[in-house]
Amino acid sequence: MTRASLRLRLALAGAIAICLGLALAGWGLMLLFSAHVERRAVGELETHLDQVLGALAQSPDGALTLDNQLADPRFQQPYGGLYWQIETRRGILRSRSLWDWQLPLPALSPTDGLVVLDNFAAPDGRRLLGVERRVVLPPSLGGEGVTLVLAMDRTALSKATRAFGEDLLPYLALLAVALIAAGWLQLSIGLRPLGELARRLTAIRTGDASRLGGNLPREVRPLATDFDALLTERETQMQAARQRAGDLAHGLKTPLQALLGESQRLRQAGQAPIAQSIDQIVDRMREHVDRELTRTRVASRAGAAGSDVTAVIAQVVDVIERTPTGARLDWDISIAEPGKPGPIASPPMQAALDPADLAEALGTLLENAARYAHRRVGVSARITPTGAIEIEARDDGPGLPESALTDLLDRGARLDQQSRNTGLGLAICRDITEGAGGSLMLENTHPGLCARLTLPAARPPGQARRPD
Amino acid sequence: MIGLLAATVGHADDDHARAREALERGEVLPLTDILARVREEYPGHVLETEFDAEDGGYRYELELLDENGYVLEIELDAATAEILEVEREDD
Repeated sequence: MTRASLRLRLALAGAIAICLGLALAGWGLMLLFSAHVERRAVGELETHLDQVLGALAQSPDGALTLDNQLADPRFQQPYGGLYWQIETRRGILRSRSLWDWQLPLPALSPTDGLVVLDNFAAPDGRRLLGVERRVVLPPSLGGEGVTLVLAMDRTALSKATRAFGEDLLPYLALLAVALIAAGWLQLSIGLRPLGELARRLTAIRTGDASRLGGNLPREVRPLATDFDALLTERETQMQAARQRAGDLAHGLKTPLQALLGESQRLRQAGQAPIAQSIDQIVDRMREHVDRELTRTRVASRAGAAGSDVTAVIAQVVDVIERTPTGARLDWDISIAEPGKPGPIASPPMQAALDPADLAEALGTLLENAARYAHRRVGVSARITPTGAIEIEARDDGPGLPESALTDLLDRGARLDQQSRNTGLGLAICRDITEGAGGSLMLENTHPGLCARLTLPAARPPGQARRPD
Repeated sequence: MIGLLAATVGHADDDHARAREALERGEVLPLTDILARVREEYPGHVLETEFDAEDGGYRYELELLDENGYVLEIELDAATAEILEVEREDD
């Protein structure tokens, strides 16, 4: 799992939790507000109910009536939104606002007290909120039991709740954004040490560092310690294996020499064909032994070594130019030093192997090129985008047969008997390169052969890696 | 507005009782139907409602504040919700 996805997962989960939580909080607040508004409305209705009760009077004919108009104009406006209704023994009194409508009401007893009627129909089809009360009037008003109802349109209440919700929404949204941003910040701060861990791992892979080291958060420190221990163990094993391979190669040298002595005796005894055959076998075994020894030597010296590629190329070319094969040719050397266009002077190209090894590898490569070239040999060096050093030697000669290329590159076998030197030379070059952790590529360029040497760049301790 | 509200208070005290009785006798339509009819043609806010007996039938007289800010007086037949007369100040 990558760091980015881990952070994204946490951030997403956090954002979802925040949004859900705030939605829940918003819903709860709406409920609270709605309940509060309704409580206020019921209180208002109770006040109106007291007012209606207080205004009750008896007309000369004994019927109940209201002796004065109520203050709220909504009682007067047909379907005005505020209604009262009184049920008496002699009939029903209604507010003018009810107009031609009559409220359908449940029957109550005096002990029921004040009853809140939720959601019943208004004349114009809207929903009403009401309070109903059964009272017994004093003897001056006939002493009878009457039922009073005060009701109001719910529309105003739901409108208020909706308006509250609309006012609340931007604040909740703002809060969500702020909380999500805070969560992201928290994640960034919390996960930063993991980024450091990733950087150190990369440094180990590129060779800039050998261990993860300490100074990491407690949660990942055991991991880093174990990882470092594993690295140490692997390194020790690698060294031991290399050592054993070297010892094995070394141990075979003397027996091989002895075998050559035996073949000599066979030849003296008149068994020349057998001796010849044994000599060939010994030669091939010796090649393997030499190859292993070269690798072991180069690898053991490559660790802290650095060779100035430009200087070694110049030195090798200088030597070959003095030989008869080299003198007849045009030598075209092009070194692309890194960072040329930039204002900062860059250090010279340093390959991570011993200068003597590099000289030997280049020497065989360029000798070979010089031997087969018609007129010219091109040598170029540059730094690849991945930071490795690439040296190319091109000649304008006949090139190599494809089968020879495959043989040399795949199995490391020498080339055919006639060009034995060439095969051996390129093989040594490849052994050195591989010992130093690089590679050798051969390619027919028609005309000529291109040999490409890729070597790891040397990085002196403490020096930052060159930007690619 | 205050004058209108005062006028609202000054109506006959029992017109809503008469309206309900007429409705129960089946002589008039409910006010909801009357208002729905008016809203179809004159959307606005009803300021005052009057209910009168006239020519052997019943009339609704509504005062209405329309969306253009004009106060209209609309007379309807209470039995059919037919608009009989609309009074509006000319532009």
